[in-house]
Amino acid sequence: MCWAIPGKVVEVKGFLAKVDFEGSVKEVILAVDGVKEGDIVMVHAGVAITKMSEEEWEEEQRFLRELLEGRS
Amino acid sequence: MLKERIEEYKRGGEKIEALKSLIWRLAEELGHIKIMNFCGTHEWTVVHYGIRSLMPDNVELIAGPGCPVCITPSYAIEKAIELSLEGVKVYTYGDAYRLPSLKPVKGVRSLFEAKASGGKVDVVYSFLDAVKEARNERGEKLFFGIGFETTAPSYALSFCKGIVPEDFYFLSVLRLTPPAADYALSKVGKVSGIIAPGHVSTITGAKPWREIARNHSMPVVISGFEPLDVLISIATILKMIKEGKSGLVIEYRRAVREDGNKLARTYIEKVFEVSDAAWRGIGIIPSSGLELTMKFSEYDAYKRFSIKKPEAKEWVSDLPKGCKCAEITLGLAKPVDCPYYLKSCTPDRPIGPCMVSSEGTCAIWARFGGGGLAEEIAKEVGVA
Repeated sequence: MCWAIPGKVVEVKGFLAKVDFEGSVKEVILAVDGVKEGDIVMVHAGVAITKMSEEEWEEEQRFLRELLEGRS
Repeated sequence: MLKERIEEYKRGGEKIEALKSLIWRLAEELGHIKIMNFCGTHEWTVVHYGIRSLMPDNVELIAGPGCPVCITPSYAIEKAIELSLEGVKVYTYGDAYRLPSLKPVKGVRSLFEAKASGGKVDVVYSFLDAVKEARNERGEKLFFGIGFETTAPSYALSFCKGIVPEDFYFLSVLRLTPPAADYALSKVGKVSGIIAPGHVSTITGAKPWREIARNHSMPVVISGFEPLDVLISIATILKMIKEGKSGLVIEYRRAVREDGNKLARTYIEKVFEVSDAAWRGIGIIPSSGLELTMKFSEYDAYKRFSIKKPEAKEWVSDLPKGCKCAEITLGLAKPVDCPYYLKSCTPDRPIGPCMVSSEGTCAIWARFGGGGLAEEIAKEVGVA
């Protein structure tokens, strides 16, 4: 049930947005601040719950590298 | 592009090998380690990708109360069936469509059967879709409002923004995961670490899980859902155990922020209040449910249809006799311990609620062959 999938925001209208999931566009509720066109959001049961960011992705990759290298 | 890079990351076979070696190395000098997950999707990942088969003998992965469909109390299902048969249009997620009630209502035991018997039931992808459909539907409507923290914002925003039509009632069976995690840990005992739910945590943030780590002195890792994520989380838990550390680590950093989603929580707090709530087969867990506040009581199905919630003192199990769903949900039993599992209870004809949703432990094991049944048979016939 608590599964969320990433999609790309194509249009924002107030608290609603159109999100593209690999070609299938769905209107969803935005429960995230500051979402704009082009952002990648995680959508669960028709509601965007979080936004992905390059920086946090990099941080996660660093965490993995450090774990494997025994530095963390 | 971030999305493409994440796709590439998912296919990182060499990293899987490296993590497996690390897990084996870390577990070498440790005793029996029991790691519990609190999300049905984590159990799905574990079973679907055969992660248990990658674990050393002393590392046991167990499933916890991470499936909102499995723990939805029977009284709510019975009431939704009854109303659909009386002409109230009932909207439900597909996950709960085939969820069986304990007692049949006019010979009907699920919303799926209710529809076949002429009941007014529609399956929707989201609350927003239900709201849109309900605008064109005459008469009274009801939403079967299941879910955890992840689902609650869609309801909260819809009510706050005033898009829910009149005569559309909300049957809240929303539940909160940290109180259930606390409860499960008090029952199971000897859990060494926790894989905490990634998408629930996008809303809650780290705080409630940090408290659980502190209260139970164990490592808790908020994890993503790719097999690589789960392996990283297991390795992190083992490393922390080896170093004698407890506390919280966020592995799923690409989606989960330390303070979670404040906006979503603000809306949830405007629309809902925390209450003691029934978990199917388990009983009443204090402060583990969400119900509509007075301000939104005009939408409250409990008030409109005089639905009575069970109280702790009168609680009786609402599982079919012999069904082990409650024990399985609390990590006290495995699906293979249930006398009905894959005998009379199958995904096509579920008896208990854990056999219904794609996040129910029994349904996952039935579909992807979890549980090491093949290994047990191999041992019995002497080929393992």
